[in-house]
Amino acid sequence: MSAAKRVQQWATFARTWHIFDCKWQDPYESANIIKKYLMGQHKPIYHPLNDCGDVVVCINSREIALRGDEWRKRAYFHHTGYPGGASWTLAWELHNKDPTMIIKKAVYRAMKGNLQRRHTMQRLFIYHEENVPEDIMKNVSSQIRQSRLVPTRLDHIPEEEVKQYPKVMDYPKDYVLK
Amino acid sequence: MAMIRASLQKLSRVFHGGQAGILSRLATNLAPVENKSVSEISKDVIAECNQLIEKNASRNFAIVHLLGKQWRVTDGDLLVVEGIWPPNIGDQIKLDKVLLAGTKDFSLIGRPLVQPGLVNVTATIISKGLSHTRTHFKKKRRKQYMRINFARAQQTMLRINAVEITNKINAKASNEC
Amino acid sequence: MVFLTIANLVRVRGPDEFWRKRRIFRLAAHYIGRRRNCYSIAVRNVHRALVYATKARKLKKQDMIDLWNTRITAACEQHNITQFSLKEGLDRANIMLDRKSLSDLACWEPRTFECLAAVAKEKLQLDGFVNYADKKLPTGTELNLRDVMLEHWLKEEKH
Repeated sequence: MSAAKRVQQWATFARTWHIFDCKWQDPYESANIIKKYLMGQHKPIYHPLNDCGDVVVCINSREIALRGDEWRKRAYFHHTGYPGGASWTLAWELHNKDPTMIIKKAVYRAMKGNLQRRHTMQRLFIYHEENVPEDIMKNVSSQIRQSRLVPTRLDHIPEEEVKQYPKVMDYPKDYVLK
Repeated sequence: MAMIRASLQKLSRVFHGGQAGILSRLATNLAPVENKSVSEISKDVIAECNQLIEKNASRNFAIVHLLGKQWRVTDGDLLVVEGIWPPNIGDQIKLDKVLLAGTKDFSLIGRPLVQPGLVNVTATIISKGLSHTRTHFKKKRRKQYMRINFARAQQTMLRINAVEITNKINAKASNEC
Repeated sequence: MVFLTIANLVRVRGPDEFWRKRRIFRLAAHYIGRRRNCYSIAVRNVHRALVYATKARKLKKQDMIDLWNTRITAACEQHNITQFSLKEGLDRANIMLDRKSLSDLACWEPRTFECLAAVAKEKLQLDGFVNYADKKLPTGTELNLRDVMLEHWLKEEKH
């Protein structure tokens, strides 16, 4: 193989580091997106036997959004292996214990269960906030598009802007706001 | 409101900004995009392509339709065609159904076939024979059912001699008057 | 075991049996352990393997189709078009490349694939065929997600 070809080979199979902001994203929907990048299915050279998956860094996993009342209803099952060792943890409990766990489990379950899955998971880094260690952040060169729009909270908009916003009417002075 | 207007402008830009499909690659690669009409651009592009064809700088590839399958072939390729097919060993054949041909610099896309006589794909039959034995084995458990059949398919091996772009684009074919 | 007559020592089971078993043992030659040495175990495994091989000839074709689809989808995403509208556009433009050659082009001739995507887009635009899925997630440097979603919403309202 000539030197130029060798470089071409390296360049083709080099791993790209992607960053994904989980803020206000549905973990199960975004797991399907992240999975594609981890397994390399976003490249036309994809083959199940070639190692072309990328690295994904997830940030803000504390601020994921579950649908409806899934925080209260969704239970995560764990069994210690001993008799009576089964336990069910609700999503909100799990999220309080470890804010990276829900997204991690979602990505793990989105992938097909084969021998490669655990190795592919090694390429996923999840951080519950925006602060990512410098040695990881310096590799990141690409961003994965979020699937949902992050809404702006009313109390995060500066007060002046809120005051300047055109009003339809004022409440009467004797009106009691509940 | 401003945002809506901006987005509408962007929309309209998307709709008017597209270049002619086949030509876009050349237009982006070779000819810098200027304020020209589409017909002028396509003329320029075709002239450019014809020059490149004359130079014959790189190896060509083509997608040919052969016995219900499409194959991407280039010089010196070896194809194994399965099924009963009349040509015999040593026959030189020309694969006429060229769906797409390309070089390093441009590609010709056929709708569905490229202009007859433009691309010349020649091949030689180098061997004819049978495939390995395929065992067709069926069995149902506890039902006393077991069938075994053996099948071998006819295989023809082809060597692609050359993929050449022989004629000029939009030029009249030699058998045409 | 004690044999009083020599006849019992050699149980003749016919000439056919040797060859019948040998056929199975030949196919089990590369197995490990009792699977290759004991007939009753070998024959079960050989039968199972042959059934798998028969079924797998069909599955292999399906696997290839899945792989082509994955590759085409990946390449389409890069050019901001869905696989459906690529196929629709190419069909309308009378370009009859199948999935095999499209994925081949996506993998080995990305520039040609780019042209095909452009042709499909152009053709759909000329025909006035709008696929809403295409515009939802465009690729680009300066595109703001907020604008894109607004565009999407605007279009939805109109129709």
